[in-house]
Amino acid sequence: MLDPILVVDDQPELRLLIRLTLQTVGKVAVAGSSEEMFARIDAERPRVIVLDVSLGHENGLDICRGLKADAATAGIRILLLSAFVQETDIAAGKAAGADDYMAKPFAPRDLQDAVAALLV
Amino acid sequence: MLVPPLPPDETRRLQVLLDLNLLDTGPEERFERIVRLAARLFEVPVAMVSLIDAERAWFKARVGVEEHEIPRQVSFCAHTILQDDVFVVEDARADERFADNPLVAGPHQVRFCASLPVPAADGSRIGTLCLVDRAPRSFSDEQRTLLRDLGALVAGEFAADALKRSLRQQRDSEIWLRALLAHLPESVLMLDEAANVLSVNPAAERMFGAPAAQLVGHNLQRLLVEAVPDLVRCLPEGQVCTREGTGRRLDGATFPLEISTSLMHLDGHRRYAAIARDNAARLEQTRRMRAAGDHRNAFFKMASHELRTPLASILGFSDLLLKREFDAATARELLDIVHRQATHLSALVTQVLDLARLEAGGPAGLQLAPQRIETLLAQALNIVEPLGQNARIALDIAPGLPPVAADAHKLQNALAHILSNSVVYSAPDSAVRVRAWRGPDGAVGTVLLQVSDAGIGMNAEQQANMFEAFWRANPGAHPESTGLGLAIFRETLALHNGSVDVVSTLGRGTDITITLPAAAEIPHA
Repeated sequence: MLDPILVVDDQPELRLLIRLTLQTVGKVAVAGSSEEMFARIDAERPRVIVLDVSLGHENGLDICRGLKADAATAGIRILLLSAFVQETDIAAGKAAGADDYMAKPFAPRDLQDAVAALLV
Repeated sequence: MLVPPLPPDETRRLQVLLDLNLLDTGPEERFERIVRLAARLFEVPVAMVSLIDAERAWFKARVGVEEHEIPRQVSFCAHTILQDDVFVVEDARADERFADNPLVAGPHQVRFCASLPVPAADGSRIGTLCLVDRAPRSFSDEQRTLLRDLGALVAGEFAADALKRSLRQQRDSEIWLRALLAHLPESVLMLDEAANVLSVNPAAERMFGAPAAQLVGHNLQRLLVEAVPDLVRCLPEGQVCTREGTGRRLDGATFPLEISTSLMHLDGHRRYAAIARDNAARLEQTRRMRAAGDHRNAFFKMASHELRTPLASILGFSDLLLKREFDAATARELLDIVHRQATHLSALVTQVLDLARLEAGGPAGLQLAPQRIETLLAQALNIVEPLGQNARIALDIAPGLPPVAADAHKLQNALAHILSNSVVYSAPDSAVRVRAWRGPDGAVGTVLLQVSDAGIGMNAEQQANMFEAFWRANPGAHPESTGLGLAIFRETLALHNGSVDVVSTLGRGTDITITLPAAAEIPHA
């Protein structure tokens, strides 16, 4: 039985890329907005969420904080994935409660390893 | 003959003599009367005031002698300045030091000489009062005393000259200082120990907008909005204490102020010299530089983000394609994404560089020439032709418009960005109207260009941000957008001294009005 993973990114290409990349690690569901994400969380009960930081008009950091603050979702491990790669960005991600922070572009292998580590 | 040796203080002595400005000056009664008096009192045919220069004995006053000067080597007086007191040669022909001196052996027939060294105010023996006779004589103690008294009169005149000279120097330096203070752009105030203003220069009057009379007597703190502590702190002399505060002009206007004070002692009083500077320009420059730095950092942060995003797709999909087996249709779909993202990345790089080049080049980077607005618009339409939407763009250009001063290539690119923005984002389904007409300010003036649509319109927040780099009204809706077109447009327009005005109503449409200076207004066009 593969672990459920949820990918949240507003760009369809990135959703496809991450889904294909993580196919070998778990059972991947995708969402393009926070609204879709919450629907998917209820349906899939993901153990890990790969969350884009700039989600259109929405801010991934706020979403991350919200998930960690809610007892129902606080247990979900969150990997923030972002093209904002300065140290301050990474620190802000960690401060929002993220379990890991990965820069775009990423090597598929690194993303697989990072998500696998969060599933252990 | 004994040649007179040089005194040990010769260099200084000569400098003092030179500074006195007596050498080679005309006769003066104040000295003449002394030598006349000496000749009569001592009943000698020759008397003089002699100044011992480097190579000569020069006579400031003389009776009974024709020459103005004699060589120092033969001068009796050159010996006198080596003495502390009256120097007497009673019979020169019988004195082996002087017997073969040309003044003795020659036609002058000097036999007797009595001379007194006369010092300048600082004690340097610069000259003598000298008596000469052609017959040998003796010189009594009483006569020596009398000669000393007369010598004191000569020394008095020397001292008076030195005093006059120093007063003149002091007056010159005062005039010079006053002129310096008057013309100094810095405000200078003299303060007492309690920071009361004692005097001010004109720059300080201008700075505080008040005449000196209204500043003097007041405490410096009263010229400040809030008291600044330790304005006249007792730092050691030579050290400067700098404080910042807010100054207040007589008319009530305030300005940021920096005051540097330093202690000095004047006539036994502690005084403070205060230099006050209006800090507004410096603070504004600092603020602007910081804002420019912040703006640049924000731009780079966004540019890096925007470049990394398509790269993530390109690298990720190509990695998957290389490592995994896909059926032909899926592989083609993935390759298509890679190609699309690479195309987007390429456009992004081009526009980031365009914008950076515009900013770096500034107005000097433009190649301005008078351009017809019709031509610029036609070229801009050519650029947006590939969008396939030109049929929706209607032109309405007033006849006889003056040319605009433009870098044709850059301005038509900028106009293309505005046109494509309108047909793609602002009015995807409706007509776009482009009008051009002469500005209201008549003959030289301006050319106005308006791009109007009845499209989706923008709210206030969207209007406020539409020209910001990488800002998008609707992220995700147009992945091919770089978010830079309108930023490039605004930068180009600013370099052309143009302006843009946006009127937009959500759901109703948008009017973008561009004002460009006509070519005649640009001096080098």
